[in-house]
Amino acid sequence: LSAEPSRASGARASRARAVALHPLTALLVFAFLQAVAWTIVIPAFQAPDEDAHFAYVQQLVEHHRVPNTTNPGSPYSTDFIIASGWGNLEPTRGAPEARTAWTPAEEKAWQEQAKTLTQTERGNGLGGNPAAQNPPLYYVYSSVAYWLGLHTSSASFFTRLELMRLANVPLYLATILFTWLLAFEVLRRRWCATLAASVVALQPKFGYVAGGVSPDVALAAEWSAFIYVGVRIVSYGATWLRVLALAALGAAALLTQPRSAAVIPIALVLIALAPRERLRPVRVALLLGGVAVAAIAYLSVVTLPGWVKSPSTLHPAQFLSYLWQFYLPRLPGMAPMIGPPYGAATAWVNRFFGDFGWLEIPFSTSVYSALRWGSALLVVVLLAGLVVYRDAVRARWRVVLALVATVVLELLVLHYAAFESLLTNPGDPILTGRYLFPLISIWGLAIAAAVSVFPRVVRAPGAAAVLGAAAMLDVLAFVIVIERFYE
Amino acid sequence: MSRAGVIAVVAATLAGALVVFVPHMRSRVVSDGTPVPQPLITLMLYPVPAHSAACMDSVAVEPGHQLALVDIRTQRLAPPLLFTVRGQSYSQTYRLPKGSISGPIVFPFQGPRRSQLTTVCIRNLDKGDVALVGTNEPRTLSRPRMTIGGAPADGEFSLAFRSANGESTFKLAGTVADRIAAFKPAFVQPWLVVVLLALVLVGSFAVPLLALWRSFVLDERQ
Repeated sequence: LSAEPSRASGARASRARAVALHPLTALLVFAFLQAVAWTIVIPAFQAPDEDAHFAYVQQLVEHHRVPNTTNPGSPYSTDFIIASGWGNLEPTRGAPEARTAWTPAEEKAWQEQAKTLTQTERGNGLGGNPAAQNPPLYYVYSSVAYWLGLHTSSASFFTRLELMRLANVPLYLATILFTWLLAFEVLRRRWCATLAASVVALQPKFGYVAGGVSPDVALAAEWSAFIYVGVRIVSYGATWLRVLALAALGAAALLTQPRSAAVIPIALVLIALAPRERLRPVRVALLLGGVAVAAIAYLSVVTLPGWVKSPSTLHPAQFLSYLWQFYLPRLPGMAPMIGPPYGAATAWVNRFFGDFGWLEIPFSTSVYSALRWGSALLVVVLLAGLVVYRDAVRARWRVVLALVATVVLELLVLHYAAFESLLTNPGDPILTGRYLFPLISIWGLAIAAAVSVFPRVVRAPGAAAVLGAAAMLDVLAFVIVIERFYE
Repeated sequence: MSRAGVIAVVAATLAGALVVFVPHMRSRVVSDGTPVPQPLITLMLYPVPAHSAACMDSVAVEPGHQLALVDIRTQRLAPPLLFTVRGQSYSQTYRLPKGSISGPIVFPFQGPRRSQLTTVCIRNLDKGDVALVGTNEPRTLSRPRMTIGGAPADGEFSLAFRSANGESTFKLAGTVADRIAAFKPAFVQPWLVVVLLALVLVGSFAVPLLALWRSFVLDERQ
């Protein structure tokens, strides 16, 4: 009898040791430290649209209302304007030679002025906020950190902002976790899962965006989990639990950003690809009914973005031409592409990996050139892998098709939204690299899959070389961001 | 992974790191603040009449030997200009002789012992014409308020401070940590910044590679 408890505690200790030594644990600890470092290194409001996102949350907490896009006046409270003035935050946005304030004299002056502020002055930014077109889920999540800071320790403006940024860390870690799970599910090798999760953890722009107040990191987490559950459905069948999880994650993505509209067709494709024995007509009917109810409920509470048009206003030929020229050179006889000369190389490479701040902090052109070649090589190797390992691909065709469909449908929705916007405002190409973060787990998986295409003897050094390059890029991002803001 | 493979990957990573990071380790001139940045789109010119001054208040100045950078426009050669920076029991002046041409000019000065808010003035000491380049864009207008000849003026002249001498990366580390920790919660101390960044620097290379190695070991065991 006395041996039982000691055996149980021994098993617990063994399990704890296994968890501690698990590659994913080390990776998550590193990712945690890195995410915290980004939240500290980025000066206030020097991450994309962070000022608008902060103002949204401040309205939610201080005024108990969701802001709108049209109210007259400033969306920024007196609290915000005073902090921004002493911190030199607004003039620094996008101006490479400008610096945010850092002297103790300015900080002291701000603290003295901030002490005199009242609750009303924290909530008086009632003007139209461009972020108000987003549904409120992420902002409600972020407002917990703001509220806790305010009501537990009367946190200052910059402390509340830092707490909101730190609230992103679990979302960032969740993205890495689900990338690991997805890659392990698809490729069935720990090293592949570790490689996929590592490149996501070392993706510099993702770290940067996660370091600011932004719904993009929430989207990445929701989509990564959504894709993982979807692949489980495609692999093992559509159980109630999996379908509910898929629906909940899809709904969360929709309630975070209208850009997630693609989750609806993707969810339907994933369910349709599930093994047939699990797909009973009653379940399908219930599922489609549920999707319809959810879509109606969503449309009744969320203002549709401007790019949602009736089919009569579509321009299919022009859209296809735009799509072609976004990725490939213009063909003879093809009309010039709508909008500025802006294609995949800039949007999906430069801005996916770099162009930090408000796009004013680029990597060098040689780095971008290397990243473009690397991205092209990734596509070529994956295509070669599909041919070389065609038997294995055929055996898991549902999963491959599900992943491809996810990428294609999301890209189509993004391009369609951008195209519709270009029809009314040809100056703004809309698309930017962080819009791909919902697909970042598939990107990590693709890199791991590409390395696994190579012969066995090359895989380990190849994977290590990829990680070495990714680490260099990651550290270089910290270096250029620190040089830009603090030197 | 074979020993030769490990050595090759480590050597390639080190070589790559040298190529990438050595240019960032050189001694360099750094910013000591940008009270008013250059405009993003529309350049404004603020003429400074003869024997009067353009001044800006609430300009934060740091300790150390620095250069104040101002951009001027002039029809011919600029008149002599007097740069003054005044704070609480702190004052510096520098007289730039006649003869500057349109473009950036610099005024060397010594910062106060501790950072403080000051008033910076540029005085036209003669009759010649000179205008200061500045901004009236809402996006680039900053905290300081400008007066010309004692009267409030719309806009601000662009002003930046640079260290007078180059500084090494290691000497800069403490300064950068102090700057990162400014306008942050109390728990963000300069030492925490240094520790975190050191962990990220080492961890970026070490952790994913060790995790990968461990994964290969676990895969082989199975």
